Amino acid sequence: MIESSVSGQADIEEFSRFIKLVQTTDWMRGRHKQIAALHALCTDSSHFFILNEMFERMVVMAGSTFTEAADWIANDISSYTGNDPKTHRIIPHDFDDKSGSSNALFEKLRISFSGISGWDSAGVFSKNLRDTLSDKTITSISVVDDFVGTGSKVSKLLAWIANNRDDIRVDIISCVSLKTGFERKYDAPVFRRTSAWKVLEKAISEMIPSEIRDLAIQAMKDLEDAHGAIPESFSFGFEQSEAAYGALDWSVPNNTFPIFWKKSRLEQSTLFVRARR
Amino acid sequence: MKFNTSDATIFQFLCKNESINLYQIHEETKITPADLFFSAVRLAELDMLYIRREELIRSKNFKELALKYRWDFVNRPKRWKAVFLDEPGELTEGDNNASLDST
Repeated sequence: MIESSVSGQADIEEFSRFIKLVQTTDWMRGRHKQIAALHALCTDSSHFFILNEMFERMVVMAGSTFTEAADWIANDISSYTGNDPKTHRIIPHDFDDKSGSSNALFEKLRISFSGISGWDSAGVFSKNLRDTLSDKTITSISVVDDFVGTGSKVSKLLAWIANNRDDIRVDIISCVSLKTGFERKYDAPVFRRTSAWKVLEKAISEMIPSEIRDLAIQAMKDLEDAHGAIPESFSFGFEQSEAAYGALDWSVPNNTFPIFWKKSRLEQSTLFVRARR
Repeated sequence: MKFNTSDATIFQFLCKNESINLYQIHEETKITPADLFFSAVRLAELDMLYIRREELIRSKNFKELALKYRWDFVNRPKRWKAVFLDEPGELTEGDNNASLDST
């Protein structure tokens, strides 16, 4: 049984907007308890407003969204000039180490590639980066993950690859990337390009109109305070990434707003799950 | 199925008003929008509630929802009223089907 929660007053516009959002947004269904727990943090209408803004902007990897992203990636890799299935390998890889996304991504990509002539063999995939680098017939690779954040882990990976083999070319492909990681200038010589199905701007400071931005920032800070268990270093996400990103079947990155994944003192269930390190 | 505070509150409002406005319930009780919405949908799926656009909220955006559900309350108000006022929060699905059948 789900206990009911109480919260502050939503105005009718935000109440109405929430009802419409929950009716039309697949990932919100079945997450009653988690959403009610977020509503319970609200003490005035600006808090409902910022939650609605986030629910509306949130890119969530699940179901049809995941399929659409995988299909887009398959098309992007197979149609990129110079990519030949004989000399190119696709490597699902968790930039976030333990997100658990790579197996799901591998299975999904296999389906997406199955309809593309020349790329429909399991041989175009590799699960082992080190083995792939040791195969001199492979001249380029696509390292694929569900999410790229600020790009710091991508940068380390590129440096490691360059250290092992500097004549290969590496594409960093993701379902979703923060603009910071997408536009970052990676200086490793092996780096060729980044590509992403969706590129996310900062969900408040770059997306909310300037006339109400201060109100929105304050509202999110209020929710973090009410939550009560968010360290300053994770406020608004790692390095204040402000990522409106979620996943239902694997761990979310710490770039996502922490009220959506950090357990509060009272709540044991969060909207999304982040694996413990 | 067991009923929670939000379910019971919706029915208490129905007992008094014969129609509900979830926003009005939120204003008066501060039960979260999420709890009220999911309660209303769940009750509607159990054929206990028919959600009309103007009853759900004073908005013009909910035609689709209004077409999905059936409302038994008009036909069986006294029975529901008795059940919910006597034993809020501890009813089983079987209990409620029985009360629907007997009215």
